[in-house]
Amino acid sequence: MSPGNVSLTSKSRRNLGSPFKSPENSISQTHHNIFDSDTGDSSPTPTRGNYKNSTKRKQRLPKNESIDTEHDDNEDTHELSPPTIPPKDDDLQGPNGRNLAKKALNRTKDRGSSVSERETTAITETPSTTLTNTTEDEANVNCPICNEPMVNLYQLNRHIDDIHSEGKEGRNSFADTEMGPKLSSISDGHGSLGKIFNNEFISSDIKKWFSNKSVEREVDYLSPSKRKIIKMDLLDDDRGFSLSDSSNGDVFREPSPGINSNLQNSASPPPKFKNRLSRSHWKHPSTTTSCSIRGCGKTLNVKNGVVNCRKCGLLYCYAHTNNRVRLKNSEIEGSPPVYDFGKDGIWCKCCETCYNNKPDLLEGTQANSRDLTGSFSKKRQELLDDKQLNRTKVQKRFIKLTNLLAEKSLLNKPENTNSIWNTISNNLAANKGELEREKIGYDNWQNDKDVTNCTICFVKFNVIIRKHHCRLCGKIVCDDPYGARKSCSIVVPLPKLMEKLSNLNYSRTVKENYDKIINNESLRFRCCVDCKNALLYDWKLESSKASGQNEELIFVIYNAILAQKHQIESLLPKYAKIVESTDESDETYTNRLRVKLMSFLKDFENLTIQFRNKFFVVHNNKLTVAEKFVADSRLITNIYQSSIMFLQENILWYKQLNDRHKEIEQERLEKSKKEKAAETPEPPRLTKKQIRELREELMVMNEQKFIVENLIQDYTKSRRFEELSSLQENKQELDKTIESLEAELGDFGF
Amino acid sequence: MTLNLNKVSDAYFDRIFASKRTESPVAAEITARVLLVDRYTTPIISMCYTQSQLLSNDIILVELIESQNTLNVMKHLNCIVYIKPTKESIQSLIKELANPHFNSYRLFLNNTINKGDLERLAEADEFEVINQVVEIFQDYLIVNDNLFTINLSEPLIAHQVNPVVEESNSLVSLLLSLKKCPIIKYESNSLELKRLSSEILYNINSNSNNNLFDDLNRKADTPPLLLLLDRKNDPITPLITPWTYQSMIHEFIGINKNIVDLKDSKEQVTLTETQDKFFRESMYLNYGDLTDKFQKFVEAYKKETKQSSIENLQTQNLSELKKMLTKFPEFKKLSTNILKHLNLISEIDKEISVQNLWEIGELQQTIICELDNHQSVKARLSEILDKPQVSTVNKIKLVLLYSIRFHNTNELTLFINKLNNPLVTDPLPTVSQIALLNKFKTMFNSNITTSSNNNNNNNLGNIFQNRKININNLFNNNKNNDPKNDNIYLQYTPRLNEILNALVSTSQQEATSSIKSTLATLVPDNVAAQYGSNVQHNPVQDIIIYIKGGVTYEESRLVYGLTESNRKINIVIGGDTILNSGTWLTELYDRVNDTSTTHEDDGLVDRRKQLREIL
Repeated sequence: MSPGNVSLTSKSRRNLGSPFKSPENSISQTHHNIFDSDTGDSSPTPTRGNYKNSTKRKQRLPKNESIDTEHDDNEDTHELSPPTIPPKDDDLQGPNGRNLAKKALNRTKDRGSSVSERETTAITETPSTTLTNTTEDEANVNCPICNEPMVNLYQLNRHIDDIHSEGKEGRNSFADTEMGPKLSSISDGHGSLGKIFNNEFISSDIKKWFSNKSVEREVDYLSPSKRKIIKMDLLDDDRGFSLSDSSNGDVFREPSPGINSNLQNSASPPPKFKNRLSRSHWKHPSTTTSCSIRGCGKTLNVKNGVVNCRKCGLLYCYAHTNNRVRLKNSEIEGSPPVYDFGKDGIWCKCCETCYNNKPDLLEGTQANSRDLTGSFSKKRQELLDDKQLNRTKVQKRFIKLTNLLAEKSLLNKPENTNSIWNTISNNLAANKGELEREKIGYDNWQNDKDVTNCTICFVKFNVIIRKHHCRLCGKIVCDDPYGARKSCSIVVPLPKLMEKLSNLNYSRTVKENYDKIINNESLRFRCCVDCKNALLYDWKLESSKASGQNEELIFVIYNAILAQKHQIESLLPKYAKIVESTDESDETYTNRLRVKLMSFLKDFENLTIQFRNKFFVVHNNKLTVAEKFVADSRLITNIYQSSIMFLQENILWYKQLNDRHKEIEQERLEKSKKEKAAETPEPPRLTKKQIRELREELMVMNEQKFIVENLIQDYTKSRRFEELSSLQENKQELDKTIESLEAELGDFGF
Repeated sequence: MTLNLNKVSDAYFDRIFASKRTESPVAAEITARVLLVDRYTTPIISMCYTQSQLLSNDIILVELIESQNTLNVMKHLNCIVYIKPTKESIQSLIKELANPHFNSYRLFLNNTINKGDLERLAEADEFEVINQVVEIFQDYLIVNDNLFTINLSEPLIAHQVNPVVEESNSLVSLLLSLKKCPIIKYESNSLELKRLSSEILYNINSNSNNNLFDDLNRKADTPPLLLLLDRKNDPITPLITPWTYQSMIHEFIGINKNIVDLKDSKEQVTLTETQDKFFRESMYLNYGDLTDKFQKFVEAYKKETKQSSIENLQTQNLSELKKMLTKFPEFKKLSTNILKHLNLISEIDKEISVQNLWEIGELQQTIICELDNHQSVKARLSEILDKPQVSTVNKIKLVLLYSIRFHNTNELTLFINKLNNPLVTDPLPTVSQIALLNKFKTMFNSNITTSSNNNNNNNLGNIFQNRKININNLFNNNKNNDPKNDNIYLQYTPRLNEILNALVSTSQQEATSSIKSTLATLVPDNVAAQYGSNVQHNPVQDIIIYIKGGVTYEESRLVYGLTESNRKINIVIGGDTILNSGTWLTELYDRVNDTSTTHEDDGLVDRRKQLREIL
């Protein structure tokens, strides 16, 4: 509601005579005033369509509300039939109580303009006792529901419409409250007619409102009064397009007994706010004459349509408001509605731009992904900690076991010759199992009876598949290195392990006799795969760093290539940017960049060539991977291809950029030259004689040119192309001289 | 455009291949990389990404993860693993992690991985080589911008206990990748779709995937739509000879994962929308327009090359020559491209003339669109059936179409007798072909009734005419449609068109209710919570179509046309395979062989029962 609108409002009120007597006329009049178009009565107008719509809608208000809100946008453009008088009151079926109210309204109507202000207000008061204070003094009106002070009745009407109607739509109170003071000044100025309007307006409207609240009593009020409302709305706003709005607003009213009770008890708090969309941002049709879509240019009139985009408020023709978006009022008061994505949003008409700016359309296609790294590494950390623990445990046991075995073997060795010791050692051997068990801990040593399946591969033990204890963890596992089952346990030679794990904290005897033990192949023990892996984890980690010889060679060069590539990739776009930007940037910097790039590209090329020389041999004019590296041929060819590709692309780009750069420099030079030339005084004026001579020369040249051109044509016709080129050159030279001559002649030319 | 499959894949591949560089521009970080894929992801990559693109991203090796045993240890390389989280692939990866061949790993999964598998991986990663685990959602193959197929390879179906679960997983990955949490609509007369849709709904509603579907529609004011259709309800479309470029290539030569096998020149050519500009511009053109376009293309090429041919060079100076030479690779590319399309088009042309398709195609359209009266159609059909040079398959197709439109057992036996006449038909139709001819009508009768009923009601053959007007009203920009309608060979519009019209035009309730009633709707909890209960009345903006039983390129073209003419609607279409008439006929033969007539009826009853139980 802009101030402009309001002033228009009052003006129109004064201009129109007594619209009461001929409501239809007044509508068409205003209509013509507004649109200033040649549309006759027969042509459909949005105003009328809206008019009809609104009346229709009000009649079926209580029932069809939800549907109406759904289709409201469509209807107010599509319904274009001329206005019809709303169906008769009798059509509306209602309980008896309504008749009384109907009579009351008829009375109002009959009295028309002649009725005094006081009387109308009296009628208004009849429905409810609480309304007494509302109309006593026009300049001092309070809302019966929230007791908010109002400036006049019309404003109160709007206020009730906007704030206390229980529509589904968003709320909009600020527009009307802001309007208050402005309206007051206007209403002071205008005559009694306007006041009557207001009074009647509010009376009927409140009644209607009541009828909505309590369907029982006053539904019959609706139809006759409604016509007035629409009239009034039209008059008050003096703009056709606003009609649809008011009707829209009306649609959102809902019967709510809660408000009725509130009315009777004005002390109770106001009901919750839920209103229609804000309209404060709407542009008035008088400010815009053509569709706001760029390139549309249609004048806004009845035929093309005058439609406000509900989102941005600008005016458009029908063709460009054929979109629907969900909107809600924004959080910030006074700003236009914002997009909504939930069930509370209202489907609204909007312009192309606002449609295309919908967040999901702006975003376009978006790829979705989910990073699981966090949860994965967390999980891994937990497991790794466990494993680390296990590893240290296994390692400790291994040290113990090694000590045990080594000491025994050291003891055994000298005694092999001695039979007595031999028997003792046998005893010891019998005890060995016992000792091993001790090292692991008796609890960990699984009992044969408890286990029926291998703890690793779960195969069931039988006569052939024997049970074995792992000497490091004590678990019972199977043993089948060749079978289909994976080899769950193996007998590991101790020296092999010790070789790999030479740095462990073995006992002194072991360390002292390290060499002996290493060479003693007979020392071996059984352990399961898990323990073996755990034991060798560190060694694996260490040893796996190295890769094959060939690969080493390849990657030395390739990594160098990659480094160059990276440099080029980072520098080239910079260079391109500088060249494209064409503004007078730091010349030395550009040059330095160029030189740098050049050297990188050269290095890259050299490396690629080096790579080729090293790994490829020319065989029958074909590049083939050298025999030595055949195993990695795929790798090598791929690397080579990618380098060549990269080189080709980037050198091309670089050269293009260079050329472009040169051109720009050239231009700049010329420009500066010209500037200099402009500064220097004009060349001395030519004497008459000189002019004559020059003119003669020019004429000769032109004649020659003409001859050459004819020749060229002839030759092309007779297809003697070999001579054409020289002729063309000739012609170009002639052109040049002509040009220079003309330039010399300047204004004195022909 | 909120639905563009190639854009999604580009984003994904950027993420997979290029992100490392942007994240850490430190020189030490740059190393060559190797890509480990499994057999599911190989086609996904190969359909949208070229070898040279890989190379330019420093991917110097591509290996199958199944063959990880044979790899050399190369600790200089970093590894990108892109696999589908299936049992086998995860197992291979676990093996690889036990003995890592490469320095570090970044793991990408093309669908959601379950928690157990992730834990197994975490356990297997003893050496802490995995730097990154990312789920991207790409368990489908991208054919065109708007066309996808579900990645159901043969061994998969054999292995998997329940192919529906696989199918639903793939579709869910599609939804996730496009960030859509849709309403599901499916054709209620299909049991498979019933299963599939409830599976998808379960997938969306269940929490098993960590609420991935929450909040996907955050920025959309209307929920997207997943439309599940059954090929059985439209058996006609794949039978009709198509007349647009991509469809024709598939019909006459066959496109397999964007690769065309040219028999004559024994070479394989790839057709991708993204790489091939000419193909992108011409893939939806009809044959006439296509040849025109191609001619212009060739002429333009000639002009370019003539300007810079060697003879012309002599007169020009050195710098010109230099420019020329730098342009040379481009020309070479262009010429190979031209050669490729020339081969394709000439192949198509050959097929058309060999198979006598101008005549047959016209008759096909006449029959199916009822452009002529019954008697003359019959006369023309029998005339063609009498021609020995027309192939058996084409004759069968015509008779099938005929039997759908005008069902008359006497005529059918007459036609079959003609087909069995060795004088005019060579080779004679097989048993299953004859069986199909006899049963085709009954097989699909129940499904097609809706449209044929409409025909009877209207009492006119111009139901299609009506429909066209409908389209034109809907898609205000009818310029696109008009010229096509004039073309006798492009009269037929697939049933899909009808369905989409019904969905898009919410206002025209009366006209479309018959079709709408065949669609059942499922609304996921998320969608219902966001948009309220009456979501079905919202306008439609994004539609994802899945045709169970196979999609056709013709339908992809239709979808393209719709989206072009009505920018407010985005549609993506797909199926489990892409059909041409050949593959569709073999499938029909199989079906006929599977079910005997009595069994068929029993099956129908059974199906109804099952449906009732499910419902």
